[in-house]
Amino acid sequence: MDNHIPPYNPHNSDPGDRLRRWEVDPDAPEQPSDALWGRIEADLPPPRRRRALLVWWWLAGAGLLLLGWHGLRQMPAPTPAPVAPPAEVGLQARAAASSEYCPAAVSGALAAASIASSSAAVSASPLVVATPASLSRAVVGIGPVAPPYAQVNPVIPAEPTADELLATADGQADWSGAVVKDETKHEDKVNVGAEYTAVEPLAGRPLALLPDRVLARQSKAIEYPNRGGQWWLSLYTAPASGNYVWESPAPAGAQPLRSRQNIAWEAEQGLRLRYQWAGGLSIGLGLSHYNGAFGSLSRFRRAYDPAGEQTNPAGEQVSTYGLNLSSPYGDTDLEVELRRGADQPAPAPTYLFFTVGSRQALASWQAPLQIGYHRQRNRWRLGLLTGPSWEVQQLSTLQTTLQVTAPGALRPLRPRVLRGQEDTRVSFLNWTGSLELGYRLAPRWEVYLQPFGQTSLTRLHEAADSRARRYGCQLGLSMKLN
Amino acid sequence: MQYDDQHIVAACLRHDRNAQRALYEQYKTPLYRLCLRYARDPQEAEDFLHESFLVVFRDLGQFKGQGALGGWLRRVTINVALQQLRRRPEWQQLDEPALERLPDAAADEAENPLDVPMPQLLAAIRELPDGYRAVFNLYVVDGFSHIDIARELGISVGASKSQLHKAKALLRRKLGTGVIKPSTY
Repeated sequence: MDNHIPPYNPHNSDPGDRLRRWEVDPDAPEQPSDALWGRIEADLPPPRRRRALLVWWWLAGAGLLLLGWHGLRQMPAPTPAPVAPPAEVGLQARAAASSEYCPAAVSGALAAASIASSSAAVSASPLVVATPASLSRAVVGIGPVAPPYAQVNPVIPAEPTADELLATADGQADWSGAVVKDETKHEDKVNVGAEYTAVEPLAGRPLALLPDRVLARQSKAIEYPNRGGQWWLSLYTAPASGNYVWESPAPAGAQPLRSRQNIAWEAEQGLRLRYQWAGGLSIGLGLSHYNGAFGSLSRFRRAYDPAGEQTNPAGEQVSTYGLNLSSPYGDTDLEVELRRGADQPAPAPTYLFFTVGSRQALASWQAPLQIGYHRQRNRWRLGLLTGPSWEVQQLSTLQTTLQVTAPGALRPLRPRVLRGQEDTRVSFLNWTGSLELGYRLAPRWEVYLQPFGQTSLTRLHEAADSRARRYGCQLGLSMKLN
Repeated sequence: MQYDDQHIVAACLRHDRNAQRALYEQYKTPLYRLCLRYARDPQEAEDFLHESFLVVFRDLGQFKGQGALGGWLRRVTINVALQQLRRRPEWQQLDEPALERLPDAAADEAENPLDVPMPQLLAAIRELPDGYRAVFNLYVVDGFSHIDIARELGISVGASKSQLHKAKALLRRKLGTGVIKPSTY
């Protein structure tokens, strides 16, 4: 159809020309009423973008609430410290050398190793200690790693020496099963020498274990009709690994014990909301959750002195040993008794070895805040982000095991937890840096890859100078909300 | 605040209410006056304009930017006005106008030109039967050909020419005899 309007001719008195001039005459009085726009607006559909944005805001909020609720459900409430629990609570004796203490599932390797390399006078008796009731069904395992202590000297000390913490080892890799990779060559330590350099530098030795950290999120920018900025909602998963480094306090003059351990983390799951200005700057807030697990192994050497034994009502000779396990999440005190029958002769003074293993689960929640700068080129976006994140960790001890290497005449009994073993919750501040590479799948959709590194800024626990580090890579999907 | 057509269209496509208001403010006056030519009275003209903007905001995506936005808006408004007129029960069958015998328009042109004050001319147009008014506006003011008018109104080309001739004759007679009073709108 011809939609052409003849041009205006000022010399033309044609009514059509006059009417066209009149339509655009600013001095003509004919105007629509002021109320007309209100009626039009009332009949217009609601602004689609605002409605969509509102929906996504609600969805984002609901998602955060859901994640929070899920996380809280997964965090068991801290339990009171089992101070001197009843003997029957947690201690299931499991012996290695004797069938009486040796469950088939656990003791095979241990027994074999122990027996093969031990003298007849020595028995290894792994004991399962104080497992929280709610977690008592957890798989029990002992996973000693290579003994971190030095070779023992075959000379028996004339006098018992002070208690010594020989070392602790990272047992993480061996906690999956119930088999003990026992390398207790120390059975020969029956002849331990006084010159034994007990507290050899343990720095750098794998020891206890712990946390790791969270990560942040970010997002990227895209150019599109909106001039003000862009809202992006992202879901991501982040396989990550990390390590935990801590240094235990030491008495004056003593060398502090330092530890570093890698931790097995499940993939982090997170949600992130990011606003990006047209200039490329962005700010994002998120919530993420991940679980981790680790095991630890601590080994102690104690001098055995028959003179220190006491006689109980049954006529048995009893000696009691206390063990203190230091951890970034709090110390644990164990007490174990060794009994010798009244009819059995006292062994010669020697060293006793106690190996305490611990298997723990960790749940972490993080709220990262990230500031970033992004550059967009075609479908690709590159971003640099950094910022703090607040992390809350919940540590639950699944199981503690105790293995005693002692002369055969001594029978370990009833380890007891005097302190510790309770669930622990700590919170601390992290700092995260990351690089983000995004690829636009569609105007509203983008996938991104975000390698990151994170370190804790504050101590995890007051008792030890403990820091967590974590590194990984987020893989996320972002949706543009406006 | 003035927006260029490209930006205002983009914003309106996102259903930006501020942009829609800006578009309305920018074009409401000429489109309202266009509606005045097709309507019987100012209230009906506002109704036409009301409906026109609803259609504009609904179909703005069809505007490809190949011409002026104002021209596209005029076309939409004319279509809406014609559509509204055709819905009327009294819409006259343009092929069979029930008019008395009219003087020959060509003969009257010299003695009764339509060169009268604008309010009087508008009032005279308003007084035309709906069909006559539509053909007169389409042909004389809006530049439609008789072929286009015939297609638009569903009549023959001859009927379009006849209606235009009679519309002009009726206008001249009304204006020449002083029947038409100046419009107040």
